[in-house]
Amino acid sequence: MGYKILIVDDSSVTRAVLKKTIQMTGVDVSTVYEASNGNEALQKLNDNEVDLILADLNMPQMNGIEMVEKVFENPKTAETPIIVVSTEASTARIQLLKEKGIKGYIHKPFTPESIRNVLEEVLGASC
Amino acid sequence: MDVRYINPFLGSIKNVFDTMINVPFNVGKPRLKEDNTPLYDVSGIIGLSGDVTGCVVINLSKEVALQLASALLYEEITELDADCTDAIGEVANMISGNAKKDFPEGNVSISVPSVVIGKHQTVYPSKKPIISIPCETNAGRMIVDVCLEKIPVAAGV
Repeated sequence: MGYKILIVDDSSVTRAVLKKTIQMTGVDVSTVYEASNGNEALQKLNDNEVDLILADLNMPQMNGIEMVEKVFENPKTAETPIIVVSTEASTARIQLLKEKGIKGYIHKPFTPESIRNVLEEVLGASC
Repeated sequence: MDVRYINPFLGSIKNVFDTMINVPFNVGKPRLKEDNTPLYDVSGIIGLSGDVTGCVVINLSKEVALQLASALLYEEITELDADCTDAIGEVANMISGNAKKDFPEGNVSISVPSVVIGKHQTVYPSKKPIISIPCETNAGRMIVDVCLEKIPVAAGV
């Protein structure tokens, strides 16, 4: 049975690119859920079990930092690993997110290799 | 404009093309833009605020926009539709976001991108120098226009 991944990004293009890049890694992913902001992401998490969240930071309605806090506050989702995928480069902001509990950070632009490495590390997936 | 705010864009353009837009490209020499009108019809615009304010405009023809969107999405895009404009916005976002990490000042935020079609829809800040960085692909030229200003530190701070 493949992994279930939630992609959270306000750009439909970024979601599509991430989805295709994940397919290119060869990791066994059965379902990719999509959300365009933090609120939608929380709803998806309420309705579905997911193994990993890939989330942007700069989004309308509820940004990535607020979303990360709410995911970890909820006992149902508190153990779900979150990887931030963003152009954000502030070391302080990334450190803050790591202190909040995110498992990793992928800087955009990304390569299939960088996505594969993170999936292997966080999911223990063999490719 | 301080070269320390221009050089990061040279590296950033190369990085974005090398990793996510696999089309042949060549980054040219930056030069001062002589007017306030974009050369091409498609513009992806990012605003910057914080220690540095201004805008970055990714300006390109329809042909180059379709080429870059197709390369980014791994599928042929033939219309200047929502997917194409979203892709150009993402290219603008990645180029600006990557460049800002190499700015001398760290406290700089970038806006979400907006994309406009039509030369007269793009308005540059008036009376401020604009540096144009040309980037050639085999479909034509993309220009990255950088118009940034460092905010002076207030006296006594």
